Amino acid sequence: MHQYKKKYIIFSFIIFAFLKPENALACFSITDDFNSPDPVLNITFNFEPDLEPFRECWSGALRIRSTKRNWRLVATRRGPNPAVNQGDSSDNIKPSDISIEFEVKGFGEAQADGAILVSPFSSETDLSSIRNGTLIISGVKRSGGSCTIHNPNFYKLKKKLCLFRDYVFNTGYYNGDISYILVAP
Amino acid sequence: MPMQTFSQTATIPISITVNGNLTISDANNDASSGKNPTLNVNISITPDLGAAAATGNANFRIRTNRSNWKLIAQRTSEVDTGPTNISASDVGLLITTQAGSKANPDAGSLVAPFNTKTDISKISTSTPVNVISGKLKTSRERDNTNFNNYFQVNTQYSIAPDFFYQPGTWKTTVTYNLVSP
Repeated sequence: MHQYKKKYIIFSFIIFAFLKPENALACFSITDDFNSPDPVLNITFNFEPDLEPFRECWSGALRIRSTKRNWRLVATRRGPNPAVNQGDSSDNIKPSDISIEFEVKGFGEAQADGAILVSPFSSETDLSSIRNGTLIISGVKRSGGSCTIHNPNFYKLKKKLCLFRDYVFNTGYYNGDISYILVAP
Repeated sequence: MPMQTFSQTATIPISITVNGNLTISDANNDASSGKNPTLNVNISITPDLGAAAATGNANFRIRTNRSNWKLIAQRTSEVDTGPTNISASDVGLLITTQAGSKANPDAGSLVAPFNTKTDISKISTSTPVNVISGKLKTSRERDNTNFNNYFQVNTQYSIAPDFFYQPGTWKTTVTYNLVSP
């Protein structure tokens, strides 16, 4: 009888885990503001230098969900590198020419102090601060009890990148990318 | 505790295109509102013995990220309400250049005959003439204020208070254009 009870409990746990996977396994997800998973957000600057307005900016947001208390958002940057342009290389657009400003907010059950921007991303910095696997956010609290992509409990990471329309920049095309990865420590 | 990942990455491709630009602004109103300025030069003379030539100035600033550019000029036919007896060759023209601390002073060089004092008859009324030949972009280093990255062109017009001139008004308009091939 005792053996039967033990088997019953194990079987029930397996069934429960199958029906409620988010309760059985810690999970996390990253989406865009439209809840699309593994999002690709294109930043396009297409400008010519001018007296005013002098700064060109782009804004975007990501949503982070985690049922685990400890999580991290890390980023890796490539470029931007000149693809087709002319002139002295010192006049190419460099990562340090592009400012970046992060802001994190909690929505639903996600508490604002559960996701901490790590220095130097706690204030405005520039793209040269992002290298290979650079820690951006240290997560210390879960966003809620689920990380399915439409769940209303999430941390929202807003990003604003700006570039001066400086007359010194070599004309031409530059490209690069930043990839963000959500990881468990 | 094992982790389950629904979606783990976000990718942000960055694409930047820098296009060429040619800007002329009023040296005394070096802002967006001062672009493509109309600079009036009014010179009033009264003939007199031993009097110096009267002068008027029009100064403007050039900015471009193109490495091959030129400043060209063309003049409208003169309108004389006197007749004053003034001819275009009586109006002296002195063009000089200067550069801000973050600009290339050698970005452009004056083309003869404008590299020395001349007169405005050298600016044709029928075809554009080359005034400055530009071989470098005007900025030498980054300037996130636009205060010091200008290449300035100073034009001074002068006329002697000659008793040969009769009362009236003599007018012409010089148009400077910044172009890049």
